[in-house]
Amino acid sequence: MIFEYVGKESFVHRLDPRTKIIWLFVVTIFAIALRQPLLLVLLFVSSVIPFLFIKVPKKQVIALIFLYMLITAGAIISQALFYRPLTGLPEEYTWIIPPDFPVIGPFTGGILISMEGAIYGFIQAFRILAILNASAMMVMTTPLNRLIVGMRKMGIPSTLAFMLSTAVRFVPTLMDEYQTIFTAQNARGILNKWHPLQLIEYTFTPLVLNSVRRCNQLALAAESRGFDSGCIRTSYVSIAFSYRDVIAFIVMGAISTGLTVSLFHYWGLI
Amino acid sequence: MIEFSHFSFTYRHGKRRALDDITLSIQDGEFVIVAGPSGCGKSTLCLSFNGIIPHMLHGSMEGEVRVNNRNTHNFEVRDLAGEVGIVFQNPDNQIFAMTVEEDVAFGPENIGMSREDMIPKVEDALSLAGLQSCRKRPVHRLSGGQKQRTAIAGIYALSPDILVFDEPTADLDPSGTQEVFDTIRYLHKKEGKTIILIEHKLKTVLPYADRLLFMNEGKITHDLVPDEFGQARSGVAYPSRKPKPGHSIINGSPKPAIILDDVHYHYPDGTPAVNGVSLEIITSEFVAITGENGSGKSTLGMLMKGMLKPDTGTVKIPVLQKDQVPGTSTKIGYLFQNPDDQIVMDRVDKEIACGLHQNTGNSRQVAEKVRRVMDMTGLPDFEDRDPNTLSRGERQRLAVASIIVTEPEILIFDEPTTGQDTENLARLMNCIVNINGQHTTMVMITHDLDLAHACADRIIVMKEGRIVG
Repeated sequence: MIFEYVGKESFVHRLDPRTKIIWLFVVTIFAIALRQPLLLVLLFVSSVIPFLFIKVPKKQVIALIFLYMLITAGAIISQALFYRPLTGLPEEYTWIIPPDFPVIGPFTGGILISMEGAIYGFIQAFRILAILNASAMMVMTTPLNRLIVGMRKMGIPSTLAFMLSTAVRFVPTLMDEYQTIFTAQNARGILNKWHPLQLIEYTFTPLVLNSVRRCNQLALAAESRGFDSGCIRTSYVSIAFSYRDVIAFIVMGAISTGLTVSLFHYWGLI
Repeated sequence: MIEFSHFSFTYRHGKRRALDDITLSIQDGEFVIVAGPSGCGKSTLCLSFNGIIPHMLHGSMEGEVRVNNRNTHNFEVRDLAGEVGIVFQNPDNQIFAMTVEEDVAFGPENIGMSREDMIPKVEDALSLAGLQSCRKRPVHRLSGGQKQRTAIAGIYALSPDILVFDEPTADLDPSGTQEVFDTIRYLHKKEGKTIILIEHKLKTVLPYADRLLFMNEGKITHDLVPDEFGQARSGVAYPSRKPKPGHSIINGSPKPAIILDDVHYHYPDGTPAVNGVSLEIITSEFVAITGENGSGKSTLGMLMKGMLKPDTGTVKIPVLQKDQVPGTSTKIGYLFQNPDDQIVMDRVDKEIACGLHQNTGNSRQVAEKVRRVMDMTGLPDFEDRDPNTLSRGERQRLAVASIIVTEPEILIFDEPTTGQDTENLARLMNCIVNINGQHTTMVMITHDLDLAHACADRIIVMKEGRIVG
């Protein structure tokens, strides 16, 4: 798993989950607002900063870099193929399928590969990667329970938070259960890999039925433990801002101000 | 103090009364065991203590239940959470949070307790259940016994005076069972809680109890005090073995069905599971493999079935042709603990016939075979029933039926006793012994030595991946 909690202690780990949620939010806004290649690269570079504090295991780093290269290549190729200026044709291009090519030509209006598109795709990739960086940092350094408490404190309804955390809690249980079902059905000799639909039917039916039974029992158990008692739910896990968050906010503020000022500069407002 | 007065209850789609005119009073600090055959109404009784009946499971009721002088009819389940706590059979289905301590705090969070009050409560509950050392552990990495103790701690954190346990150990192994019993006993002796326990393992729990209730068909048939327990203490009656004709010896020398030669197996994380096992099981023999948890007995079963490949050594199954893969071959049947993991069809007969698709005969032959195994497993006239409306014991026998229909030469059972009451177990064992009578080789993995002695020709005891007896 690439996006998995890395159970190490670091400056970033000790930050309040809300700080990290806000950082993700800030990066996303800028990734949408910025269009200038230089500023997007700067945004990407800023989004790498937190990783300098986290000792990410080598395996995960390699997986991340591989994923990032795939995304970049995908963005470059697709933009090179499909990018067109508002009017006319790009400056540097070659036709792959010219417009006068029989059938496909008139149908597609011709397919070309352009340098401008490739550059545009390269820039685009930084948008996606900056957002990915911010989310990866959040997931890698925050245990999910703290993340959910953070969201609750930021205003998501507590029932929704409860659903989220219960869903996450049952992921490993369901995976184990699916494994057992698969083994049991395979041992019966009724799974045939050439019939994928049947395979899904024979393994998912018991999983779904078991889950329905489980839900009924969970409802009884939850209510027996006072769930939905009409009181405001309190929380055992506590989160609080500390001096680290102040530092983080100062850095975040500096980065945002820098990017905003340059953006205004590009727009000719300053 | 709990008082039932002329309480009756019929489930909405039930044909008869699940509880029939129950009048009962339980004093503070009593330890009451409720026993009886499956379907006798003991679970329904349990669910009536905290208002799940009638508030969450609907039906028609008469009479009333009072808990500490509050009529359960007038209070929601959640409002009674501070009076009565209930622990269910399946530990997984009552844990909500991701870590142990957070789950223990789930109840206090629900009733809006402040964090300052919550912390000592959680601390108390964790130490009661002996869970301090694994407080931060994710719940899916706990053993069954630890999960069930987490559930108990979670109930305890709400400080109810009355604790109800609905077969809390049915899904647990022997060591987990003992852990849970010890915790329950402590709650009664040291904390003075009122305990109501539904349990089949009477031998173990009777010494703790003040009172034993026997139920049948929705009524309390016996209400016994410790002096009278003697009459209830008779053990489990397993089917006695009929002497088998020595068919394997009739045709000359005994034919081996499974040959293991110096088999070693390590789990992917490097823990050795099976450590040099050599073993020969003869055709139509009934072998029981017993041993403690983690002794490697289940792994051995999976190696025989070919679901796992040995690191070194060989597993030979002579009945298989060269090109057959043992893992998916129907010559070797393998029954898992939970029948619900393999039931897919909406009709009993379809479910049984499901395994026959691959080697289809004509439909009359199929129907004939299905009929025969239904008779063998004690499910006659069930063909058009929906498996989900069957009882757990019936579903387990359905799973057996759907495996033996392919006429396996070897049948492996992994812990068939889990989640079964004595009556269903006896029927299942009857049916297993029956199948064994038809020349099928049986391997039963179990921790129940009594059961092994009652059924098997030979008992193999495993310890630390080796055969020790």
